[in-house]
Amino acid sequence: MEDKEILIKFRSAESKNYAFNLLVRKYQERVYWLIRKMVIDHDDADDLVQEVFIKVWKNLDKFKEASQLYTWIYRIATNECLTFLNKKRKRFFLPVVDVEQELSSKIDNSSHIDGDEIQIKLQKALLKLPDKQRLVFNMKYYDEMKYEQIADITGTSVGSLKASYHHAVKKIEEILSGD
Amino acid sequence: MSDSKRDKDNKKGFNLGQVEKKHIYRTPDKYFDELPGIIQSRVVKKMPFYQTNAFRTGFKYAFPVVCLLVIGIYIGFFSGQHQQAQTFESLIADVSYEDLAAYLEDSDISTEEIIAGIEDQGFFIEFEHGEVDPLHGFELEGENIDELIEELDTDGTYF
Repeated sequence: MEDKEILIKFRSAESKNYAFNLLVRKYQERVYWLIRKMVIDHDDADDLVQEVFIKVWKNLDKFKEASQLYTWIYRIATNECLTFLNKKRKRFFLPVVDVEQELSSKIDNSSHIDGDEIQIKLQKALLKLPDKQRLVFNMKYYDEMKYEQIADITGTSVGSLKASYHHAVKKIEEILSGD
Repeated sequence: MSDSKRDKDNKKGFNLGQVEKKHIYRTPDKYFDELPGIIQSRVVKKMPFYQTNAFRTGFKYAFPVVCLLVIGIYIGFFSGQHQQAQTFESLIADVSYEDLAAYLEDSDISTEEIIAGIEDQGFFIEFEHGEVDPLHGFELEGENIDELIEELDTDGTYF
């Protein structure tokens, strides 16, 4: 079902729950994978996905359709991710390196991770990037989103995003070349 | 491959374009089948009762019904009172003067009792042929009523 139809149904009291269910089913996987690549742990990702959709539920009535629905949902998801990682650092007084090590150990120990050596190396290399740069890299490299779409989500200019992605790729190649 | 080309490749190092794009992350079985239900239940739990569909639907029908009931009770109460007032008036109006006179003749009630009862209610008595009660306005208390009647009954109209 098209986003517009979902929104129309959501605004009607009788079909609100039904429309929301459709919306969750349509976007849950994309939102989950965006979050999972950022927080690594499945349980953390699960909590955040639920929070994202609860926020969507609460605020969808105020959604003005100035942007596309998935862009708006992605924006909520990216904010949740960045807030989560910042809180993690503040709560445990962890420096950036320690958070990176914590996430890296989750890659090694999680039962919900399965990949060959080079893939795991790549994921660990990505953890060395700043959160926002990692987010941009994931959206461009894995989700193959256009810079314009990423710009809508992150509120950053296309030029800055191109530079950020270019630097991220260069840094990862350097890290992996050194291994 | 020549040595110079190999050296160039080594200097170039790791190339991200050569790595297969593959997710290493997995989810528990049926995770995406169950997630919408979990989210839906959390949303419903967080939603205050007045925002639920059940309340909205109930309110949609209950409110007009309650309004109609209130209006019905209001109309019934006031129209009932009016009807009661009308009943008393109409009852009095229905009794003819002749019937009233016949009833009074047959009953044991004396004229004085009737006059006293009516005057207590503040009515001004007008007798037949438009004559005014000759006793009205007199202070009768302590007077000899028989003497007073004899004094007033000059032409024998009343007795």
